[in-house]
Amino acid sequence: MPSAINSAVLPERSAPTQRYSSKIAMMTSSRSIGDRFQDLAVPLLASLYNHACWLVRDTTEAEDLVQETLTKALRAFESFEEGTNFKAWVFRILRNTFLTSRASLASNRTVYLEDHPDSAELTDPGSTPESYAIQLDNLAVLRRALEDLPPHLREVILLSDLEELKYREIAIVLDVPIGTVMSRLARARQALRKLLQSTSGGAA
Amino acid sequence: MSSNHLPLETLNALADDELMPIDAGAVRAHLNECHNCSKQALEAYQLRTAVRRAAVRNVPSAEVLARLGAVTKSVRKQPTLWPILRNLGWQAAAALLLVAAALSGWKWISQSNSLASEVLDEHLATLSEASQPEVVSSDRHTVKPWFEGKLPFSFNLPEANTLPSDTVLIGADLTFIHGRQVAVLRFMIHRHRTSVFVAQVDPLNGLPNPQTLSGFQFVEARSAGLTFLGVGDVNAGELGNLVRSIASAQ
Repeated sequence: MPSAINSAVLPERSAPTQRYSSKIAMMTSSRSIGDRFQDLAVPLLASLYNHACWLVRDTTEAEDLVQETLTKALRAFESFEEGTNFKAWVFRILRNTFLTSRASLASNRTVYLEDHPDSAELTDPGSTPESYAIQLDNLAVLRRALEDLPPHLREVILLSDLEELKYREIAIVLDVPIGTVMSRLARARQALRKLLQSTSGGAA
Repeated sequence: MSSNHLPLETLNALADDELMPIDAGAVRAHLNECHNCSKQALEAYQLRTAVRRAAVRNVPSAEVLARLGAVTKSVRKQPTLWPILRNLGWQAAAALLLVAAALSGWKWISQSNSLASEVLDEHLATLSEASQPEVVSSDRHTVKPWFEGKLPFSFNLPEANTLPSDTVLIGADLTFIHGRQVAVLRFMIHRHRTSVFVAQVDPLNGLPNPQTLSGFQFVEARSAGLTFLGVGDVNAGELGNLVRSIASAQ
C-alpha cells in the first residue's frame, strides 16, 4: 500500500500549453503586473514574516529577509505562471533568499539543505500518556520543542501544518521529490513527539 | 512497529488529507482493526492541530506590515543591497560603500537593468569575510555532485590543472536570478573572489559582453546550451580565461 499511496498522492502539473495560455492571459490582462503582484502578495505578508522569523530567529533580520524576498519576487513576477501556486512560489524564493543570506551561514546551511536520514533516525517515542496530551496544550512547551528541532525538520513541519501547503507544493518550495517530503515530515513529527515526551518526563 | 502496521508516512498522509479516496478508505479500514496504527494516526492529527496553534509566534506589527506592503507596490524601487550591507557589519559595509562610491558605480546599481543588479548583488554578498559558499570545496568531484537534483540542468567543471594560473575553486552556491535557478561557482583568482554564474541560456541573456560595471568585470561565454557569466574585480583577460575554461569543459 505505501508505494501505491506514494505514487497516488500527486497529480501532474499543468501542461506546457496551459501554462503558455495563462502567461498570455497574464500579459494581456487589463491590470498591471504590480497590481496583480500586490493582490497575491499582501495576504501572505504575515505568513512570510512569521516563517522568516522561524528561519532567522530575529525580527529585524526577518523583516529584511521578507523585503528582499518580495523585491526578488516582484522582479521575477513576469516569470510566474498564473494559475499555479503563488504561495509555494514566493515561499521558495523566501527560502532561497535565506539560504544565500548571512543568517543562513550562521545556522550552517549545508546541513539545512541536505537531508540526513541517519542523524534524524529516531526511535519510536512509545506510548503517549496523558502528560504528552497536556504538552500539546502548552504553547510555550510546543514552541520550545519546535525551536529545538533541526532546521530542515522544523521547516517541513511548518510548511505543512502551519502554512497548510500540500505535499506537492512543499516539494516545490524545498526543491525535493515528494517522497522526500513525506519521509522528512514523518521524521519531523516523530522528532517533535520525542521532544515533547522528554519534556513531559520521558517516554513510556 | 511490526511489518503489519502502516508506515508513518501513510498515517501522516491521512492526517494531512493527502491520500486518494480509495487509499484513505483502505487506511481507515486498517485503523478500525489496529489499535497501534489508530493511536499513531490520532497523534498525527493532534500534533498537526497543536503545531498550527503554536507556530504562529511572530505576528507583524502594523508598522512592519505597512513597510512590507510598501515593497509590494514598488517596482524596482527597493535595492537589495541594504540588508546585505547591514548584515556585513559596519566596517565591511563601509569598505564596500567606499569601493562602490570611488568607482562611481553606485548609481548604476539602482538604475541599470535588473539582471546586472541582481548578479552584482549576489556577487557582492560573497565579499564579506564571514561569507562562505554553501558547499566549501576545491574539489570538482565534491562540488559537481552537490548540484545534482538541485538544478534543471547539469554541467561539467574543469580539472584543477586546466584552470588559469593562480585560480582556485573554493566552493559553490545556488541562487535565483530573475526567478530562475542558477548555479554559482566561487573562485579565487590571486586574492580576488570571483563568481561564475551558470544558467540555461535565457536567464543570463542580456548583458553586453564583456562589460565593466561599478569596477566589476562581467565576462560571458556560452557552451552546450548554457551561459557562463563571470563577475569579479580582476582584469577582464583573467576573468575571461576562467569563464572560457569552464565553458570549454562542457
